Amino acid sequence: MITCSDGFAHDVLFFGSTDDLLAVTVPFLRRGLAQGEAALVFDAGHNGTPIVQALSNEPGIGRVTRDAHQRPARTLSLFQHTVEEALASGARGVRIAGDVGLPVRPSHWAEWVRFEAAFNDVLAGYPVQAVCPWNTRQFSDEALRTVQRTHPSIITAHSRRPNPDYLQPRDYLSRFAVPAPDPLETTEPTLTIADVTDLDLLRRRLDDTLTGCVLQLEDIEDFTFAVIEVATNALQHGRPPVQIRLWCADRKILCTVRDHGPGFDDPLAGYYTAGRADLTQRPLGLWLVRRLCDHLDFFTRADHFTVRLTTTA
Amino acid sequence: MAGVGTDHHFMLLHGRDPAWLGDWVRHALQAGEKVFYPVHPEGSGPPLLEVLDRRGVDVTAATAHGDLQAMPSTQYCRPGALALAVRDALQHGYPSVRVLAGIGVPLSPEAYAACEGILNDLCGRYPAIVLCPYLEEELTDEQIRRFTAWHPRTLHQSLDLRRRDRTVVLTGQIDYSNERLLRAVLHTAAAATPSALYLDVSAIALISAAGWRVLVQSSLHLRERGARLILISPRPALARMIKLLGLDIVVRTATPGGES
Repeated sequence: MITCSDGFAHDVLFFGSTDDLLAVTVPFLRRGLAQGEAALVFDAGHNGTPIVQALSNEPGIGRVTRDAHQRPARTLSLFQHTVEEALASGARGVRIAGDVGLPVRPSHWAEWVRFEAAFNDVLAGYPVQAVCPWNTRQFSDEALRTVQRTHPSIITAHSRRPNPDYLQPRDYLSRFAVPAPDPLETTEPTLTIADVTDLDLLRRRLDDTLTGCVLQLEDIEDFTFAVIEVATNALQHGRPPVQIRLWCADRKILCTVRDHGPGFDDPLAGYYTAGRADLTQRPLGLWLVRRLCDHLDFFTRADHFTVRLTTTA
Repeated sequence: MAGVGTDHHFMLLHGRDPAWLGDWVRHALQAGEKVFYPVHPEGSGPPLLEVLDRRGVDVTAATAHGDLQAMPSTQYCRPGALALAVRDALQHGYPSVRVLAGIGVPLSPEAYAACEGILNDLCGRYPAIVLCPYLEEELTDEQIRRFTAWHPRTLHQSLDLRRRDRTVVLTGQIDYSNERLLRAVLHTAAAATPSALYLDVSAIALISAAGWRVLVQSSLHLRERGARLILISPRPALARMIKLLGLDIVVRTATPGGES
C-alpha cells in the first residue's frame, strides 16, 4: 500500500479491460479518502469516465474535467494548480487518477509523452500519488514501451513495483525526445527574414503571412505570440543575426528561429508553472511558448541554435 | 485659435538610427506645415540637416521658402518667445506648426520642468506639435521616469502612450524593447491616482512576457496601497493570455461600460 506521506509517486497502469482499470483505480482513490487525502479523477472522456461512474456514490471524489484540446503543457499547469488548491483546502495529500486517451491531434503524441516525463519533475515536491492508466488495446507495444520509461513505478491489481526502465525526466527528454527534422523544412519557406531586429515589424510580417494559413484565428494569434517570445530570447540572449523561417502548409504552421549563440539545453525549460506569486521573478517567455503552440523543439547544430515551433489544425 | 491639446507635446525615446527624425520633418513639410528646429550654442547637437537631406528633405528649398526655420535653443524656454514665432507662422498662412525640441544645454530639474510646461502651454493654445527626442541608451531609469512625467504623451518605435487623467491609452505593441518606458509611465500615472489606474489596451496588438511582468508589478504596487490596475478592452488574444497566466485576479479587465 502507498500513502501520500510517502511523498511523490507516479505509477503507470497497463490495463486491457474496464474491470482491470477499476480494480486498481477505485481502491486507490478510496484509500486516499479514508486517509484524509484529496481524491481526484481527471475526466477528459477517455478512461476517466468509467472511474467517475464507479465512484458516483463517493461524495468526496473530485472530478476535474478539461478541454480535450488542451495542450500538454497547459494540462500540466492544470494538474499543479488543482493539487495546490486541494492542499490549500486542508488535504493531507492528493491522489490522482489520470485520463489517457489517443490525442485529439495525432501530432500531439510526442508532446503528451514529454508531459509524462515532465510530470515527475514539476510535481516532485508535492505529496501526490498519481496513477496513469494506459489501455493496452489502444496503443502499440512501441508506444507503451515509450510510456513506461516515463513512470517511476508500475502498478497492477496485485502489486506495485519500481520500474527498471524508468528514466529521469532530463535523461528521457534528452535521449528519447530528440526532434527529428520536419519534411516541411526541406521546402521553400513561406516567409524568410534574414536578420530580425525589430519585434514590431516581425509581428506585422507574421500577421501578413499567417493570414493566408488554414488554421483557426486563435491558433494563429497564439502562434504569433509564441514566435515573438522566441525571437525576444534570441535577440536578448543569443548572437545575431536572428533568422526566421516560416512555413504555412496545409493545416500546419512551422517556424524556426535561429541565432548563433549557445542557446539553452535544459529540456524542462518552460514546463515549470509560473505561479502568480513569482510571475514577476521567474522566466516567463518559454513557459508561454509551450502553451501557445503545439510543439516546441530546440537544438544546437554546428554554430547555431534553433528553436522550432509547430501548430497543427 | 484652437490648440491641438497637450498630448501633442510628446517625448520620443529613440535609438541610434535618426531616420525617424527626417521622416517626421518630411511629412510635416509635405503637409504644408512649418517646422522649427533648434540650433544649439557653439553648434552642439545632432547634425540635423544632414539627416534631413539623407531622408529626402530638400533642405535648401525648404529653408529658402521659410518652411524650415532654425531657432536658437535658448529661445525654447523663454516665456513667450516660441509662442510669438508660432503666431507669426500661423499669420503667414501655415495651418499648423511643428516644433522639434532639444534644448541641448544642461538645465536644473526645476528649469527643465518649467520649460516643458511652456511647451505644454504652447500645444494647448495653438495648432502646434512639439517633439522632444531623447536617446534611450543615454538615460537612466530615473531620468526616463522624470522626463515621461513632464510629457503627456510618449512615443517609442513600437508603442505610443498617452496619459489622460487616470487613464493611460496605449497603442502598438508591448515587448522588451519598450518595457523601461512602460514601467516609467505606469510609475508616474500610478503615483497620480488614488484608487484605480485604467489602461486602455484596446489598440494593443501584443503584450510579450516582459510586458506582462511590468503590468503585474504595477498592479501589485497599486494593491499595496489599496488601488487597482484595470485593463480596458483587451483584444480577445490578450484576454486569453490573461486567463492563461492566471492574472484575472491580479489585473482586472473592463469594457468602457463597466468592470468585469
